[in-house]
Amino acid sequence: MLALLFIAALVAAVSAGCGGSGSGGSSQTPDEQQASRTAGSPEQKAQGTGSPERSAGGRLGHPALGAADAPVVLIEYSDYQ
Amino acid sequence: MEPKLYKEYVKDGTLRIEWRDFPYRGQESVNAAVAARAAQAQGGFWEYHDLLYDSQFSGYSDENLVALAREAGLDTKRFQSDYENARYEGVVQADFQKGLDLGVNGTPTFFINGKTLVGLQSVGVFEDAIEEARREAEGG
Repeated sequence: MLALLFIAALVAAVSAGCGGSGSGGSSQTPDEQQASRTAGSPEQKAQGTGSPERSAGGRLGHPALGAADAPVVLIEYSDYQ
Repeated sequence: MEPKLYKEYVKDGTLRIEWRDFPYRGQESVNAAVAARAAQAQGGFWEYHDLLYDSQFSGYSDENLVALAREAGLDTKRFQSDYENARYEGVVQADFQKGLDLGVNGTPTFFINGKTLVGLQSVGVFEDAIEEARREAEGG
């Protein structure tokens, strides 16, 4: 019984850790880019349609082009005017 | 973004480009950004984004933005509802605020693995910055 409780607690802890990086759409500071490069952006993983190279985020995360694990991440702040 | 960079670096997995809204030039900037996010909700962000730039001299009236959605092949009824209700304005404003927090005060502003490039740049400048970032990422 104790072993089962321990395993359940371990699973819960691991799940919380995996989900802690936030859902698609969370903003990344440049400092946070390092995590993105190693873990991939949530919005890229969440999107389920279209080309993996040209995705816009299934949950309205940040629109992105390119692989989630690319070693170089370029963030562009821009407007349309 | 320069197509050459896409061909050289995005396609081979070296580079990921992420868009952030920084609509600092008034309500039409905000409207265009919100409209693009409404397009994104239908999986049409990049097509709509390209159309916006192609038609920027026509202005971003509500009518024009809906017409672009039609041109992009989006569900215009859904687009119009999302746009008119400013459904995604919070997403746009969150980007804008984050940009302000980072010191962005004009567009375009780029962060390449955290290093800042301000303003329009030649392809060569981007290539150098990307190569440098790649070397650093690889520990070189």
